[in-house]
Amino acid sequence: MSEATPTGVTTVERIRNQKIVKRIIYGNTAIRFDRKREADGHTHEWTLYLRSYDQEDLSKFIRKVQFKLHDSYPNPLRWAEQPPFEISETGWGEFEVQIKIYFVDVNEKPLTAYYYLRLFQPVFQLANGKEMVVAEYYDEIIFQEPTLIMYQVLTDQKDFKKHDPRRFYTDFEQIRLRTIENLNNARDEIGTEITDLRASLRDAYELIQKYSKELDEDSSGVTNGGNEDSNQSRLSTPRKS
Amino acid sequence: MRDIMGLSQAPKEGETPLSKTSKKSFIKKGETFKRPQGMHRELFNLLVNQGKEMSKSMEQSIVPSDTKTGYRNVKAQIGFRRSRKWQYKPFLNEARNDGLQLKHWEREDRKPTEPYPFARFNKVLPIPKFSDAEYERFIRDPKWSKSETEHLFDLCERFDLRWPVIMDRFDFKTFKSTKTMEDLKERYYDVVNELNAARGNNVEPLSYDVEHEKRRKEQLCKLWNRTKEQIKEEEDLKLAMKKIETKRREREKKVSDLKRILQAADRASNSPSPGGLSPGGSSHKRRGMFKKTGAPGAAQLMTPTEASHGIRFHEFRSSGPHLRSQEIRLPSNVGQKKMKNIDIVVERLKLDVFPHAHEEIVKSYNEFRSDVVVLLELKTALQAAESELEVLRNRMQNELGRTFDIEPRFQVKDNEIGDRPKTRGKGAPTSRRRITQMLEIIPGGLPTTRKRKATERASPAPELKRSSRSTHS
Repeated sequence: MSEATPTGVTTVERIRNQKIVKRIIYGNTAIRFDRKREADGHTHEWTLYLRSYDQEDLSKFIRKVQFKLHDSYPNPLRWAEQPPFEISETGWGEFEVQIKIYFVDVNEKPLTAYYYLRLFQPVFQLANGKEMVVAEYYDEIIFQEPTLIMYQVLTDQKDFKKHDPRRFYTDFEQIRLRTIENLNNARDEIGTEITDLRASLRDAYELIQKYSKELDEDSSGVTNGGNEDSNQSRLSTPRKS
Repeated sequence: MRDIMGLSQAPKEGETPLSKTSKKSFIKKGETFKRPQGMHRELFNLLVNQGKEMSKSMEQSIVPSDTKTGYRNVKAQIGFRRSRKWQYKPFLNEARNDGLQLKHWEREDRKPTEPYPFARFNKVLPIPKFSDAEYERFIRDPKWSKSETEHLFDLCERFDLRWPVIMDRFDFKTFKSTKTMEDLKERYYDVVNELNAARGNNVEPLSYDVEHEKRRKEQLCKLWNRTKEQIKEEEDLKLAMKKIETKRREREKKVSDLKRILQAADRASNSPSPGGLSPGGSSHKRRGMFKKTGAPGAAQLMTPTEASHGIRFHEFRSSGPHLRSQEIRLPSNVGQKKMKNIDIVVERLKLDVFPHAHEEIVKSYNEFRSDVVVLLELKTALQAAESELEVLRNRMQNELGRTFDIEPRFQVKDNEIGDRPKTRGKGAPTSRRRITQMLEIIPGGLPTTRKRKATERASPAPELKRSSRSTHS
């Protein structure tokens, strides 16, 4: 529990060496109007949301979520204080949103995630034939040494069900596997190039040492006689024996 | 009333005021001084009364004193005793040897035994004299006849070894020889050294390097006689030299810096192997290898500093929550050039700029970007090495007349995209170097902010780079 010390600073009791990861998704859907709205030029209706990747009730540990929209929106700070943590709006352009997550224990600092609202792609075909843009991003909240309160709610496994891909348009698993494969290929390739350059560099240095030495040895020996006639800015010329 | 007016008693008969003034009471004409025109009245009054009896009382200072006379005396009093007399007398100068009799003013109380005080300034140089026997034994020289040598020594004595004078007075006509000043000097010093050696004088032999002197004087003449164009040309060459030197030093520094990185990175890559044996062993071996070459560049490699691990990402250690996506953020110490190159590589390899934040992906992605930075540093170092090899090759061609080829694997500069070095053959690189080619070492004209198009990314706009926000109104 938090205690007040004489100086007024509160210390919070935390569970040592504990790390808890909660998987989340944030994203948006967007549907285009049939025709552009003349009044404000809006062309799409969109819904921006924060959801659990698994089937978990986020309000167990999330108290409220603030969505900060583009400045051109009136009251750009929108709140969602109970699940579902989402807002809906209309608009005509894409922009970056700040999603600020507040936890049930005020002693845990709120987290800010940045998300780019998409209106134009990727496009999905709905069952009723219409088109919808769905963009979702997988992320994780990592609680390091959570407070007692948080620990209790975070480890509450009641009603916890794992991720159900049918509940999402985005195939997260496929994206994950594809990304990992691409990254591995890239790392392999760059690994070979690093080894290659390293070896070349080493050998190049050896050559540099070798040639420098040869040239230095030569220049410190007897000078040729051709230097006598030109103007020399050095006053002392080497002596002849 | 008459008193007031200053008139004296009642006029006697026949007396007019005019006649009252007696002729005797006229002041002598000579004593009347007219005040010069520009001078102030008070000043004139002060001056005109100097030295007179009446002014002794008038010229009191504000602070009267018994000892100080103030301005009362016209004549200054210097010295406190009687002055001594001087006499115009003949004298003897011990420094002279011709008995010339001169006269000068002397104070009367000068003692006659005192030498002429300026005689002691007549310093005489000890010019050795040699006998005929000594000449025959020690000092013979094919280029100098005996009389010539004696003439030289005579001049040396007369003119105190002042060589310009000796040179001028030397009687070349009689001896039918043409000798330079350096020849004369050479002869003199050689003779002196021989005599000293022969007589057993334990003095340091005088060293005179004729050739050196001749060349030195010749060089001075040339220096003096340079024309304006030549001077300017020399200045330009000097500047060019300085520039080349600084560039070379920079290159060498880069080369050695990154060589240290290379070493340490090697050590780091060796560390997974068992125990601490091989890292220590390999680094020692490397150090030993460099010690042997002994070239100056190797000395800088003796102390490898910490390795270039690429990028050090921010590690979240403190207690509290954070997002996995925050671990993808590039730390602020990554420079513009590195960031630009990372962007280029990620794009060209068709990787997600901001992949989904799975733990494995984040780790892999960060390591990959770190590798890009390592590759960049290696490429930079190799480029510097390539330049250095080119410089050495030029030097070799000029100085030693030899040349060598720069192997393809050392060539990283100015490669056209698609112009990849062959991976076969001698000196070829061992990898395709596709990614290396993408990297720009000197990316001149980098835009510092990038406008992002909506279609470019399929993921949230990262706060990795502070991109300009798209406007929405």
